[in-house]
Amino acid sequence: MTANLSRRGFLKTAASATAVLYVGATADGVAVAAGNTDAMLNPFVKIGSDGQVIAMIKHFEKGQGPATGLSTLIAEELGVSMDQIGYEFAPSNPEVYNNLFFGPFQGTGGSTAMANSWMQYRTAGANAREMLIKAAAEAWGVDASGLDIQNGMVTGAGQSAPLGTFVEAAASFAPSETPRLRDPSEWKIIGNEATRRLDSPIKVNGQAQFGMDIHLPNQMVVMIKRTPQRGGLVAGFDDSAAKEVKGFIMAMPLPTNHGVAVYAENTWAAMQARAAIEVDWDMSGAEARSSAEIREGVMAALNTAPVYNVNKADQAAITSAVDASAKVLEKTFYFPLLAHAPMEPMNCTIEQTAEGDIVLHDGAQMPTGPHMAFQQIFNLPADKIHIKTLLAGGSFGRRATPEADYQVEAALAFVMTDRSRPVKLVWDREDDIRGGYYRPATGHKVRVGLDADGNIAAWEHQVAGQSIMKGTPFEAVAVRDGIDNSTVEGLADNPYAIPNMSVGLTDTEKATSVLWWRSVGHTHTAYVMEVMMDMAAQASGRDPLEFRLAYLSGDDADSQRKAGVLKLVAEKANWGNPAPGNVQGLAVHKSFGSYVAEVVEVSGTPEDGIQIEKIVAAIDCGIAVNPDIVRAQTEGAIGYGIGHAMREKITLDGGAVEQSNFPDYEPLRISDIKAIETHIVPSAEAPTGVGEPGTPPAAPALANAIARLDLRVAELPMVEQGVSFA
Amino acid sequence: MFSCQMSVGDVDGADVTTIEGLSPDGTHPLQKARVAEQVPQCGYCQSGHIMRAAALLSDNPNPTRDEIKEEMSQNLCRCGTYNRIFKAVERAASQA
Repeated sequence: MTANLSRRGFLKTAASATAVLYVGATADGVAVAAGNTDAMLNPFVKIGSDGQVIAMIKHFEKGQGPATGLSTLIAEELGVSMDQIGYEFAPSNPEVYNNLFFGPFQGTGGSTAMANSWMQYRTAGANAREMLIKAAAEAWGVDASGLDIQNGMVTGAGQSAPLGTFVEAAASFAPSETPRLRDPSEWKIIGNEATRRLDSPIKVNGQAQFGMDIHLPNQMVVMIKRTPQRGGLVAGFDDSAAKEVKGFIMAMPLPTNHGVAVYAENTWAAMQARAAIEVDWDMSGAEARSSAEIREGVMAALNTAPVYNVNKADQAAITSAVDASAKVLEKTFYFPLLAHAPMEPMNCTIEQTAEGDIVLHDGAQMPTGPHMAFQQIFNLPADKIHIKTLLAGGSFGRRATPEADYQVEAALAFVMTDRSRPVKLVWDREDDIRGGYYRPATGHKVRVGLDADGNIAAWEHQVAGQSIMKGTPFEAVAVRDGIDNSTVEGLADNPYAIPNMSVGLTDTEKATSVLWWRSVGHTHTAYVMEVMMDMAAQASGRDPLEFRLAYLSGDDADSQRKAGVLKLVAEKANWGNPAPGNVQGLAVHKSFGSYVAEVVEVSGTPEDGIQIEKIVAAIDCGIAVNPDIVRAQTEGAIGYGIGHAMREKITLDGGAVEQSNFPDYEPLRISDIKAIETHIVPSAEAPTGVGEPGTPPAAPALANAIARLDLRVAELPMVEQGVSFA
Repeated sequence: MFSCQMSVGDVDGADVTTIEGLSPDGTHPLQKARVAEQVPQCGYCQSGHIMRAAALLSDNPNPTRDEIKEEMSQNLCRCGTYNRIFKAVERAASQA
C-alpha cells in the first residue's frame, strides 16, 4: 500500500470530475488561494465538476464533532445541503492546517476545534461560492450580484445550473481576501436542530475505520513488554519461552530500553509471546512511591508557604483579612491520579512506501508531534513523512502527549526492522491503564472569611500539584514566571467578583507521568471553587443560586454570561423545588471560553445509596453551530465528570499502578444517571469550547447535592468518603 | 455474547451475526434509531451496544426501561451516550 495522501489522494477522490476547484485558507484564516493545478495541494474545500464537494477537516474526530461542524461551515457558506457534502481528514501540514490558537502546530485540544476554525472555514466556503458565482455570471452574461447558490444550484437572473458546471472556469479566478460571509439571517444549517452528524451512518453499520481496524498486507503486530514501574529500564530479557508461541517473530529491547518490543504475526500471538518473556528490570531510576506518599507530599506542600504567588496578591494582608473575619471556613481538598481510559487503547501503524516515504496511520490528535519526531527518527524531510488520520475511539486528552509517546514507540519498533513489513503497534487496556498518563494528583487548601452579613470578606487559596507542562516541549509557551496555568486555571481568573483573593501555588514532584485530562486544571479548580461557594452560602444561610448571582452582578460580559447560565439552569431544573425526597446541588464554571451551570438532583442517602435522578445543564458557548452536538458533548462531559468523581482513582503501590482494566477502574455505567438534559443559551457571539466545559461543574454539583444530606465531600472519589451509590 | 470472550471454535457450525450483517444497508430499526437519536460520539463501542440491543429486542420486543438498563449495563460507553442509548432502544422497539 502506498501513501494515499496529499495530492495523490485528492486526485483519486476527484477521479470522476474533469476539473476540480480547490479553495484554501492561509494561516491567518482570511487570505485564500485557489486553483485547479498541482500547486494547490492543501485546500480546505475541493469541488469537482461532477458537483462533489469535500471539506478537508484539519482536526481529528474522537466523537466531539469537527467532521460535521467544519463541514457545516463550508456547506453553509457555499450553499449546499449536508447531503451534498463529504469530508476527508486533512494531511499533516502545520503551515496550512495549524490550529490557529496553537501557532504553527496542527492539533486538537483545549476545546478549540470549532472556535479556531470558525472564520477560516467560513471564509473558504464563501470564497468558493463567490468564484463559482462569478463564473456563472460570465457564462450567462449577467450581473453576479443577482446570483446565489442554494442546495448546490447556482440560481438567479432567470437561470439555474448545478455548481459543478462552473468549476473549471471558477478555478482560473483569483480568490478574494474578503469574501462576503452570509449573514446569520441567511443561515439554514448553522444552528439548525435538524442538522445531523455526517459520521453517524458509518458508526452504526461497522464501516467506521479506527486505528485499531487497520490491517495492512503483511503487517506485523508489535506489543511492548512494559516496566511495571514508570522509568524502569531493560537490563536483560529471556524470550526462550516466547519462541514456542506460534506466530512469534522476534523480541528486541526498544533503543530507549523502556521496554521490550515483541513482534508477532497477529495480536493474539503478540499477547501470548509478551506474557512468556522474562525481563530483568533496572529499577534504580524508576518511580517507587506509593499513592499515600504522593498524597503526603501534596499535603506537606499545602502546609508550607506557597512558592508562587499566582495573582500577585498581598498574601500576608489577605491572610490577616481572613483571620479578622467574623466567620472562617477552612477546607482541604485532594484529587487523585486519574486515567483517561478511552475505549480504543493506543495504537498506530507505520509503513514505508516504495519511494522510501514513511506513512503513519493513526487517530492523530496532534499530527505535528509525531511528524516532527519522525523527521529525527527516520532522518527524513517533512515532505517524506505522511500522516493518515483515522477516527479515534475517544481520547479525553490521552492521544495528545507532548512527546508523541505511542507514535514514537511504534517508530522505534519499526526502525529496528528491515522495514519490509508494516508495523502495527497495539496497546491493550492494561497497558493503557498502567503505563499511560494521568490527571495530576492535586490538593487545595482554602480559607474563606465571611463578614457579619455573610458576605465574602477575603479568600485565601493555595494549590499544590504536579505541573503538566514543566519538563515538556510546551513549557516555554505554557509556563510564565514559573507558574503552570494549567494547575490553577479557573481560580484567580474566575468571573466571580471575589474581594481580597490570593492564589498560591507549589509544584510537587511528578508522580509517574501526568497529562491534560478532559478539562485539565478545571477538573479540580471548579470543584474547589464551587464547593467553597456552596459552603459560604450555607454558612450565610443564603440560597446557593442567589449567593452566586451576588458575585456576578457586574455588567461585564463574563459576569453576565455566567449569571445567564445560572438563571437558565435554575429555571429548567426547577431549582429550589426538587421532587419529594430529593435534594439538589448547583455548580457553575467558565472554561475554554464557555459557561456551564448544572443542577444535580439525587434521592437516597449516602449510607443507603445515592441515586442521581436528574442532571440539568445550561451552556453558553456562543453560537451553537450544531445544537445537538453541543448537547451530546455536554451530556458526555457531565457523565465523564460524574463517573470519575463517584468511584475512580489510580493508585500506586511501590511505584506500580494497581488498577488494570474496567473491573477495577470502573467507569460511568448506564444505571448511574437516570436522566440528563442540556439547554443552550441563544447567542450571537463567536463559538467557544464545547467538548470540555461540561465536565468541571458536574462533580461539584453532585457534591453540593450530597452536602444537603449532611456530608461534605472534599476528597475524591466519593465512594471512599462515605458515599455509597444505588 | 461478546466476541472478545468467545473463541471461534466455540461457534463452530452456528450462525453468527456481526454489526456488518445486521442489515444489508444500515436500515435495521436499531441502526435507524441510533442515527435518529444521534447516539454515537466516538463510535468505538457502538457496534457492541447495537448487537446487544438487537439480541435484547429479538428476545423481548417491548422491553421496559429497567429491562433495557439490565441488559445494556453489560456494555460500557466512555463518551457517556447512555441516555441516548435508552432512547434509541425504545425508539427501535416502538418501530420494529
